[in-house]
Amino acid sequence: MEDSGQQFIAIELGSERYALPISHIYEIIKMQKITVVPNSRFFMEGVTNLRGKIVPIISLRKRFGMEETSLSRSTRIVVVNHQDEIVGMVVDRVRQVIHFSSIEHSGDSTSGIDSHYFSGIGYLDDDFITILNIGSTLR
Amino acid sequence: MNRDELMKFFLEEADEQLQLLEQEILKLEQDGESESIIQAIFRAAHTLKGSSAAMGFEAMKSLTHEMENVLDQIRGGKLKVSGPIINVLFLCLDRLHDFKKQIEQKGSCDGETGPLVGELRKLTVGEQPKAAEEAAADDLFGFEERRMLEEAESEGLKGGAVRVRIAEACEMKMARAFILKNRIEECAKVIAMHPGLEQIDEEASGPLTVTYLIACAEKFETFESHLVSILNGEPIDGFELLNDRLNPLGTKPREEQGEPEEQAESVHGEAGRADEASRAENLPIPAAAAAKSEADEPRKVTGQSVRVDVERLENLMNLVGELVIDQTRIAQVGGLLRDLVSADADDTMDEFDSIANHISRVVGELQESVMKTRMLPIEQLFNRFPRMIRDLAQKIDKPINLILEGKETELDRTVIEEIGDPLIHLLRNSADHGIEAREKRRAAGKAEIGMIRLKALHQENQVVLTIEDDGAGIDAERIKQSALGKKLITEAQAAQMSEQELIYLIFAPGFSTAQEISDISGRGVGMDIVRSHIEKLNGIIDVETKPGEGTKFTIKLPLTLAIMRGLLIRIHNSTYALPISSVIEIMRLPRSEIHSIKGQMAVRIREQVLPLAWIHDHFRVPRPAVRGDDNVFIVIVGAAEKRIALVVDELVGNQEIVVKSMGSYVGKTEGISGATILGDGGVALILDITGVFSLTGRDKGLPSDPNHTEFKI
Repeated sequence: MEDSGQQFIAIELGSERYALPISHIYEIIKMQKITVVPNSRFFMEGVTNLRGKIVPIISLRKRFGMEETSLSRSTRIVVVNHQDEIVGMVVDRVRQVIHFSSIEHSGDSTSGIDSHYFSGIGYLDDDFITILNIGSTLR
Repeated sequence: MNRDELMKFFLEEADEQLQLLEQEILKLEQDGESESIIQAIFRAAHTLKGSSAAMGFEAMKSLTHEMENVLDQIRGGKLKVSGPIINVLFLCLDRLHDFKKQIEQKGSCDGETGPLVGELRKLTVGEQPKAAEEAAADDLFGFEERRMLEEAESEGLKGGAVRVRIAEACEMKMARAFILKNRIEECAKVIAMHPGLEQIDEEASGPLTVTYLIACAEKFETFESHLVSILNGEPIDGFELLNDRLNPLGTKPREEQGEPEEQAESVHGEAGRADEASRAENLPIPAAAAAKSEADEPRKVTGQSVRVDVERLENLMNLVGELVIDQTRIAQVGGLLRDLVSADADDTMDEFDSIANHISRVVGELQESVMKTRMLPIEQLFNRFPRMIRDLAQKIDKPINLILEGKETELDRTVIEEIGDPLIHLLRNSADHGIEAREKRRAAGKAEIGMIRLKALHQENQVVLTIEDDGAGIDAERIKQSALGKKLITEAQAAQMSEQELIYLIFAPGFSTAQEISDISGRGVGMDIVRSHIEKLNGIIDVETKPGEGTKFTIKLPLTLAIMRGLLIRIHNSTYALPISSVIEIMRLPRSEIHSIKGQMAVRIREQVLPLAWIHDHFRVPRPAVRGDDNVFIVIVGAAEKRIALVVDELVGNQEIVVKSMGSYVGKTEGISGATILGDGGVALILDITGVFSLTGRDKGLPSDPNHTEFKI
């Protein structure tokens, strides 16, 4: 169990919900034009212009092997800052900022989910959300 | 100023002076003894002595000191310039270069100066450096300095002195005295200082008074106000401007009857000054002559340049890059707005357009100015070559005349840094392999002295460098045999290669025709290095050769790497930019003209067969649909010596593009070198021509082996 003072952002991919630590988030922008980079990683959408900076964008759906959906008004790019590298992740929807009442690290989790992309589970009242491990998600 | 900054200052100066030394010693060898050359060499050695002493580089100081002794004797007519003297001077120069390198790397220098000093002493043997100082006992400055002052005065400068009291609290007074000297040099010529840098006692307590003997081109009042601003902020207790006899200004300078000089000057202006100059020399110099030299002089004396950290320029360039992008966007958004607003807003829109136009003009000029600040004349690179060729010519016993043209051609400093090595390789190659041995030249009825001509010039947005020799030329047959022997190509490939293609094999990795490895043009890596450097700069290299008449290498480079002109093209749904410096030709061709030659797609353009590639295949996008007229757009691009024709869907136009990195997350993507932001805010990837060659399997510039068919149409 860990300090529950940390804030998270909840995002959605279809019916699935994930949480991202707010401290890693650089900015959340609306979907914008993305230029495809040929011969790049399978989950790489391409690059975009974020106020004069070239920022790579990945698709979380592709990353998690989910089927792709068409863009909607709620599609967002969550731009994260990971080890001084700024990368955007396309998600279906961004939900609210949340405080978990407690966090269970995946190391001590017995829930059986594939913990590769997750760093733990956050509990809120009687609800829980998996917390994304940004490092391994981007890798 | 801390030691690091001082060090930078010192190294910059040492660089300058060493280069000067080299030039002048070369001149001495070529043109023979002349007073002005000896004087220049002496001055450079003297400056180096002073600054190395100030920084505490003992070895460097003592060597320059000995050099000075020899030069002094030459100057005094006691020694005659001869081959051995020049060789020793060159050896000293090499050693000084060594020292400088050591200092750069580890902050100190050591090493044997004994043998060299011995050589130098031998030259001056029997001569005691005698002091013929006739200067008055109370004069701080010796005969030598006085003579230099007179010389300066004869050039129309005014002699004077500045006495500065360095504050007690100031640490490293010697260094401070040196800095102050440099400061003062921003607006006047410092002839000497007392006490000399070597004599300043760092340990001594109390304020330090230093007197600088100066010559300046300006009126003393102007000079004084300059001094005030220059010395402002320095840790000094104050300064005093003196006349050249070290008396406070205003006192009668010399026994001459004249009215107070300062006053006369302010009244009579030019004439007064010329008058004073002539009086100082006791020679009737015509006013016109004095005025003329004054017009020349300020350039040398007044500080009109500022040293700026390259990083700051780099940053400035990035900011300008952003502006360039935004300015294109403003124009585009303006266009969109005009369509949206109603007709009554036409006036406002016109105004908007004129503002947008003005911004783009200003940004354009800004960009040009910033780019210019990063530009350096190629001279500083070229100046390294005469010495190199001289040494080389001596070693291989071929007399060679190196002709340098277009030294003043300016280009981006990063480009200058990168192009140095390739040029050295090409020059050495010309001297070693190009120019024939003496006997051979005589037998062929050529001038015995070989000629190498290195030329730089601007051509639109590019720099063209040519290296031309009048040597034997490249023998395609020998290249072929050598390449076959080294298994670089197969017999089958060799059979279908044109003469030009064979000659380009010299750029293939691992190729060298020299029978034996010489330490001159290396181990068959030389031309390979040339090629990779030029590719890195988005440049192109061409070779023209005529057996028996010589060889000419032509290198074309972009002026700068940060902002370049790009040709925008479309491949499938994406816009890509091609560096225009790599684009050789754009054309439209019917598809039926794309042939398959032994499995390789090719087009014939004006008798030349060029390989052709559909990048679409490599980027995994569909090829463009067949148009009604069956034509396709073709862009012929080159990297170093290679050429290829690329099929593109559409030509969009050309514009200034700012090169941006895609960062390490995207990683290295073959065929893409970076990205740029377009006028509409979108991103276009920049095609990396070298990468395109390797994508298409044409990276060795060889036709594909017909036994391994890779492509089918």
